Amino acid sequence: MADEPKIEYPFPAIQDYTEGYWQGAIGGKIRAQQCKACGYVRLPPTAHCSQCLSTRSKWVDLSGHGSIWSWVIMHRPYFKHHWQVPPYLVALVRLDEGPLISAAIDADQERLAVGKKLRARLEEVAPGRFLPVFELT
Amino acid sequence: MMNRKNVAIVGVGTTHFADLYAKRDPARDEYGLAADAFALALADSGLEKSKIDGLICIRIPSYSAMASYLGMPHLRFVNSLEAAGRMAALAIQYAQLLIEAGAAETIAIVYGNVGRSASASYGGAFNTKSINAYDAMNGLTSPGAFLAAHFQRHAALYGTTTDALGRVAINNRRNATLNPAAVFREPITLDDYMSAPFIAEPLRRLDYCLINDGGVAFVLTSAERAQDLKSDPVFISPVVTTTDLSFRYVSEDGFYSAAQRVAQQLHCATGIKAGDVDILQVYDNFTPVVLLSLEGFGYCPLGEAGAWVAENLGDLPKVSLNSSGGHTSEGYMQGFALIAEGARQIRGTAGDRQKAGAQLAQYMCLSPIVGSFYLSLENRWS
Repeated sequence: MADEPKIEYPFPAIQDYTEGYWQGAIGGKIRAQQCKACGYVRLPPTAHCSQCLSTRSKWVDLSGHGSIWSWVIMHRPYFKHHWQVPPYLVALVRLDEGPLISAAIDADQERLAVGKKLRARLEEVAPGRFLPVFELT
Repeated sequence: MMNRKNVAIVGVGTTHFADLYAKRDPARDEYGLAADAFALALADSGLEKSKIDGLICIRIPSYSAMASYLGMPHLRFVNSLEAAGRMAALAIQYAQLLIEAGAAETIAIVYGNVGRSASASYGGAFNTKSINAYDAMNGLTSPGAFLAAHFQRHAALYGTTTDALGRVAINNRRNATLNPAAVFREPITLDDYMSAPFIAEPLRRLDYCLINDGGVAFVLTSAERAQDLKSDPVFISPVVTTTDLSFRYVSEDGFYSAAQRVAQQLHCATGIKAGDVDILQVYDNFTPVVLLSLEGFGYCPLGEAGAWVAENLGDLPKVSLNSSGGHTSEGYMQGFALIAEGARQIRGTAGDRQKAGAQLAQYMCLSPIVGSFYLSLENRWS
């Protein structure tokens, strides 16, 4: 995947409450918000904590470790410009800290299984946009 | 059980989905399709249009324009629901509750869909400011992709194979051969299924609902008023709904516990068990949803839907499931046509596909809003 062409693509908007996520990614980390009021860890970024509705949060670096919840192989192009070229593998990954995120997996499908352990690296798929790509550990 | 006013479907109308599919027309609109279906439902009920005092619109751009189009400017109740399959059970539930509460006495539910003529598509589009953008950036945007992930998980946990999905698709198609209004009526084999291209692997094209044009309408009223009408009223059990909501089309347990809650509440309210049902109308935007529904609504234990399908939906099916062809063959009317078919089977008016002696139908929708209810000619839920 690292060798695929880097094509312009509509990424999530950078807003005041999402900026920290993207900064963390540039630094090679998956970051989540930890609620300052109740301690709940959430990802993707949101303005409010879903548990206590506080808008105060701090960024915490996650371990980058997780496990496979499930995966699919997308065979159709859904976007005119996308950094992934079909067929591509995309997984739902349960991070060790709790959140369920979608991400690319750099592995053959034959080696995947629900619950298998993964570790993320952050890859620049478009200028300034670093996305997690998981490898089997 | 509380003292309830029973509510019945007294009019059913559906457009001819196959004819509409054959003649794509960019000028076609939802109002016209909904009106075609409504005219049929109204005629079926034998009611004067002036008796309709409530209107629920689904997938219609404007309820105001719809009411005007139908010449019903003075209603006691009107509103619109979003264009989503999970709305079908809710529309019936709202009509039931409104009639029970006396907010309206006779309600029309009208649904219109120009998906094919308007070139509707699912997947791809996303709002870059929404939380869904974090899935879309990885190329995961469509409900089909999320259902594919649920099936992959089911396969991993319980050994379910895509053969089971194929059987569901084949069963739908076999049923559609007996339905002149169904869009796809050519029988398919397991080989046909397996050679269809992957869309979101492990799902193939034949696991996906159609995108087509059509309208569906119902007229519902109280049991009291239904007595005087010419056609057989189809009584509705309490409609039970619950939710398992997330910003994406994902449920930790594949909506199993949500469907179990609905099944248990329905059982408590009616005393009916899965084995009592003659006609299973199962929401099937994608074939895996049928498997998840059979487990969630108690037709088989968790993880055993593959075996259930092999046993009951073989070449000579033991169970009537999606008797008009379902969303993969009849057409994708987002649950509404499945409910229409349930009512027709119970009335004995389903033509060549009529199941002899059908007395009890169940509509089941497993989705972020799970909903289910029974249909019967017997006024058994007062």
